[in-house]
Amino acid sequence: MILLLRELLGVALFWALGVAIVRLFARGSSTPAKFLILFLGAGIGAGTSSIIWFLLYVVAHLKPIFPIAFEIGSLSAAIWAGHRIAERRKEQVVEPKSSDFPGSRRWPKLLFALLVVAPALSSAAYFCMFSWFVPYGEWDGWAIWNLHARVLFNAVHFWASEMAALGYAHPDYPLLEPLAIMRLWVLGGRESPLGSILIGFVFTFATAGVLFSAIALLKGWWQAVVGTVTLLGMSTFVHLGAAQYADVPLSFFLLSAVVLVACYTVSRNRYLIALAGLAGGFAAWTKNEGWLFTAALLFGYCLLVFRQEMKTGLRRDIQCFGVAFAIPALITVLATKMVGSPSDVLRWASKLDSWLRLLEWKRISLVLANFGSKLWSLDNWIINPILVLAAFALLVGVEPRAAIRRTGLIGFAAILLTLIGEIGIYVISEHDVIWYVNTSLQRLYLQLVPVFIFSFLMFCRSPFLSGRTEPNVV
Amino acid sequence: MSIRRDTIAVILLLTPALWSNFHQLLVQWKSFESATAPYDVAQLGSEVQTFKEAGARQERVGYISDAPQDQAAEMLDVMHLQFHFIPTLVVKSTDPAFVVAHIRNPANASSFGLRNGFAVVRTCSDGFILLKRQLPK
Repeated sequence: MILLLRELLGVALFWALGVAIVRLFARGSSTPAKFLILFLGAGIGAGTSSIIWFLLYVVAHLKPIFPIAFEIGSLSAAIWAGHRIAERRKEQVVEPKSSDFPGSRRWPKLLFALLVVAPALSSAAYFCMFSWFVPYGEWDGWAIWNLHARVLFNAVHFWASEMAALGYAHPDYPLLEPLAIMRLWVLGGRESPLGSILIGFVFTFATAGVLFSAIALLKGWWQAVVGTVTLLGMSTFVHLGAAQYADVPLSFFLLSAVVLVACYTVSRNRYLIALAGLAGGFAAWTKNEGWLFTAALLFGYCLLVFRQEMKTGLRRDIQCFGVAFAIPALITVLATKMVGSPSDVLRWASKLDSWLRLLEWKRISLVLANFGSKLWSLDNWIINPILVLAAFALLVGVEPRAAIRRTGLIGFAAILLTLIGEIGIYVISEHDVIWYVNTSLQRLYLQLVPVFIFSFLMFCRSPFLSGRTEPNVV
Repeated sequence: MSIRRDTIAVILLLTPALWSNFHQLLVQWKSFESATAPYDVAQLGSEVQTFKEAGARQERVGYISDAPQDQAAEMLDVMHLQFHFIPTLVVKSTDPAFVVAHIRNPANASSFGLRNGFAVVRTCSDGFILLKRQLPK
């Protein structure tokens, strides 16, 4: 029980730190805006505390009390700065002018609450039962991410050389999740499966929370319910979180980056694009795919706004995004250099033979065919989710507000460019393509599922909502 | 007309999503129930037949393994020897009196026993050992 309390306190500390940091960039008085800040805080806090622990505990070899004190100091400073900033500037996030909360009668509210709470509780129950049964996670969970956390916990003074020795366990992988788990073990006083379960739980449900609150903010409550239930209905997504894979934390940061760019395009609060850059940096600090997606997001954003009236501030946008992205990105490069084990993708890309594989049509067609078949069999719905989503779009129609549609377009552009990049990586890889695709492609899709749902619903008109025609900007 | 169409759209999308969500929970619940039911030694198969002689025939028996069966030996060695990989519990009984353990590294067996209040009753080939729960002093 004491272990649980100590680890829960550890979670509460990084979450509070994250909320305080997000509030420095964005403020809101409406309920969806407050929810969004709360859920974004979970990942931003985990990322920030992982950097603090990496620099002070793992690299500088200071005692645990120093990173703890630094976290508490940062939290106090962020709260103080947040109050000062709040006094100076007005509310600067997009907010609905009027709530579309379902009706004034009682039963729609009850139905609405049931539709949100029931799948969330069901997923939480599934997560807990699975964790009881498989406390150390599935293959990648225990053989890569938790193993890296064990190296950091048990061999912190010579972690880099020990990590480099784990040739089969991807020593080049970034350290956000292992550090978050190690931090809870240090705070708890011992290695326990509870730490990795808690981290998986926080990221799984914070992703659903970010999706819910972001859609509620931009599109209304009913659309938010549709999006969240669709995500929680993707049973493989919740399963992946309970299996303690880093794909779920990664999907949290990818979604956060897209949501913040979307909020920025509507509100023009430049702090939000900086926060999006930070989320993109944390995505790179979580998994190598984060680099590709963040580059795709920035490229897609530039491509789409270049023809719009917003292009005047584009250079400034890129600067803000880039500076915030650089902080976690540089830490990622530093950690990789310390371990001295280059990533597979960089190794393949450095060889001419690998690039020549791009000319092998048979290999390319094999990859493309697998991309199609894996997408079609992504989850175990009674009706294929692609067909269901298409029918939904046909019935509700297209979102009337151009500014909101544009946010969806940015998300789709990022997904498309990422998939093109992934196809390229599969083709140039030295692995057997079939094996490589079978062991990783479904997870790649699941990383992008929350971003896809968000972008898709930005394109669809919100059900039961007809009054608003302009973006809700304060 | 629009509200009716919206209602159909929402129901169309939410029904399979909710079905998938609750179906997943139901499947997990069923496997949870069957996994926590106590096993008899005989049910564990021929691998542990030798333990019958140790008096475990009528007892509730759990089963643990320190790693999935299909792994490379190299990976197991590194995990066990260098990082004291905690055995992955696949306890088939909620409170077993005896535990059949498949542990390839003897150091893991003794550390697991000490941590969880088990004593080694008998060792067998291929890393199989029988542990007996000790009463708290």
